[in-house]
Amino acid sequence: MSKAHENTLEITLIESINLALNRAMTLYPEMVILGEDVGVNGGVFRATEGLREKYGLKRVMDTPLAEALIAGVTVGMAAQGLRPVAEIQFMGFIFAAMEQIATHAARLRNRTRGRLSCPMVIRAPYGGGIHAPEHHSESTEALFAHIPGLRVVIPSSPLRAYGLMLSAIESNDPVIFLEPKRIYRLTKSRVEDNSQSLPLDSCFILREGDDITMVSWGAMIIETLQAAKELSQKGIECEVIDLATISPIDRQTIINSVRKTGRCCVVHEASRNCGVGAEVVACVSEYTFPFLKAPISRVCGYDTVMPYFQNEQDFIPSTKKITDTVLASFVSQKEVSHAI
Amino acid sequence: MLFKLPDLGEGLQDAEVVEWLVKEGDEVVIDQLIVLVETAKAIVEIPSPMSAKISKICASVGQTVRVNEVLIEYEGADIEVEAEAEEKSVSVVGELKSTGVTQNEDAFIIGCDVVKSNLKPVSKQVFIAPPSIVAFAKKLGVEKQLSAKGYGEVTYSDLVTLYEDQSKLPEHQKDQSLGNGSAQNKLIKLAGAKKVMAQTMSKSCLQVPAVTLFDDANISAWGHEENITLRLLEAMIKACVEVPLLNAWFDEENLTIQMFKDINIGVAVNINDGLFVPVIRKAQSLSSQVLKKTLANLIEQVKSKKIQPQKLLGATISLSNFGTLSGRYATPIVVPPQVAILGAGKIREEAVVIDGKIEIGRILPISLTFDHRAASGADASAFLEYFVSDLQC
Repeated sequence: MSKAHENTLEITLIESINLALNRAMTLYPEMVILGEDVGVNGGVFRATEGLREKYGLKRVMDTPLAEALIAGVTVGMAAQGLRPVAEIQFMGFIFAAMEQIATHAARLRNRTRGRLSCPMVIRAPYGGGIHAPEHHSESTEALFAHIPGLRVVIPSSPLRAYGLMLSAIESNDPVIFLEPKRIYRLTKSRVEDNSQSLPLDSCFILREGDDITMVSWGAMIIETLQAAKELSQKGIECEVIDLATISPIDRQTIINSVRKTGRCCVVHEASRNCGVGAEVVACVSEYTFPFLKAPISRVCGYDTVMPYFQNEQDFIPSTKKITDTVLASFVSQKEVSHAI
Repeated sequence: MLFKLPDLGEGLQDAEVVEWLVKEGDEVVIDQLIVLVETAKAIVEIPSPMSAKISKICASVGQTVRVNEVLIEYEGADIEVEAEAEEKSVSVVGELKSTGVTQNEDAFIIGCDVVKSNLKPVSKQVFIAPPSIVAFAKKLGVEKQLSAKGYGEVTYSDLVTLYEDQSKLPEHQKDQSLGNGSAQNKLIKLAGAKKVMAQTMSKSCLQVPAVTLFDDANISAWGHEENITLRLLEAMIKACVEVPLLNAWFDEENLTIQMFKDINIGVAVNINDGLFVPVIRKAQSLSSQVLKKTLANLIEQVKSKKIQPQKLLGATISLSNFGTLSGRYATPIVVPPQVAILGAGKIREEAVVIDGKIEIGRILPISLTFDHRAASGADASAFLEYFVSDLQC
């Protein structure tokens, strides 16, 4: 049995993050983990399970229930030579840390004219679909995508979570690493614990097709791929692109795809208004306008507060909503050609 | 009664049985510890939810039990047994769904790598353009030429160039769908008066918000030797005097109306070489006889192609007497900067009601088109009224 094979595990997304954190702890002696319940408890979702036992309380630190403190300490550690990975237990609680993230983490390199960098990762589970209480289900990635100096990364599968987590930690600039908790344990993948990172600032093409480009990220990749499968039975071949790095966007991959397909639909769980989808749509419109065969469409959550658990499934775009929207973009093309 | 593994919180889906503290047949009391299970996090002690006799233990030591799987069966007791009331709202970490499916992630493409290597450039053989360009190409009839020529990103001027090139192409290269490729279908390149007509009409249609009024003149009173065109001219002069607004030029740039004392009437004359509109100058100052003679002269000059270009310029209002050919009403096209044009159709006989009696009337159908920027409907109606009543004398 080869060594590579021995290292290949069938694991869930959350286990894959744990695996990547563990791997990074061995790769980077300067790496530390901090956050609420990440130590003794092992994380409420078990992301940091076993790490305190393995690396000790100096490298895996339980913090008080104080997000501003977590972010501030993280910035300080990063500026002074450590490589901290902080956990905000739920993205809904990140706002207390926002000041440290936006005004210090994102700007440290610029403020010091490159003397200091900020090699830090802030992990946070985000998104709905797990019947959690209020403040536990929002998708506010766009807030961070708008801040220059921050990278925002969202994995959508165990394999990509492993590779992206490693490269996020490897990065010498701050990364907001958002974990789609709805798919933490949804499926398993074969992941080889081989220290191989995946590139940041790059999309991943999960399915190739000639008829329409579907851009999505996080948990919505599941519904988008399902929609692509159903549309394929109707003769529409979707090219499914996992945006993966929400900011900065890998425009070139999307542009090349839309120039090929002539159509584009963006799917995200976050509210529509000023969502990351709007940025993708604007980019597609700017660079592929002469190639478009139909208006670019978006399938998003509603412009409301994320509802409580009983209604959250109505908020999250369904596979049907996606297929209906895609089919409509083919109908409108027909209408356009008739109108001419 | 069945006792199932309760939700242990924090999103845990299963637990492994470590040790049974009771055995089958034991009587237990409520809250007595019955089993130790190990979760991903810790050893958890599970108490009995009721006092009863255990009839069966359903999971052996070392076995992994999923939440809601049966742990033990109690004897008798026909009561609801649940460790915790099952609620939809759960702990802060909610319910993490699991499909148990292992997905194959062997195949996905890293975006940037594709850009550098694999992704083919967009085929230049495919005609790619936004809808507005496609529409324009279709309008010019160059859509097929375009795809054959292999334009990638096309501009409006590309289309115009293509359109002009198409007219120059040898016969066999022309787009068959345009219908001008075969020997039977002749292509006519407009020149001279016909070209001027095409340009003038396009300009008018683009510029002028035109309205056309229709009316009938009962000319039963006329003698049979009456010169129709002459009568029309005389009636126009009369109407222009009464409503001078229609004997005018409209300047769309400065938004001014140039009124004229003189009435210069353009009369449409059609010959094989095209449509000519010679102008009768100062028509209001001419007697019937002179008017008739001037008109005849101009028509003769057009037909013999000897008319001087300046005699085709300067009309302040126009007349098209197409009734000499065929047709009843029309929507004549105003030639900017003129404000109005009159059309006269073919005379017909029909029953008319006069003073409550039906009589046979000779009817001359009239169409008046005017530029609504310069004149209102009321102005045009008044003009038409004077015109028709003069004809009916």
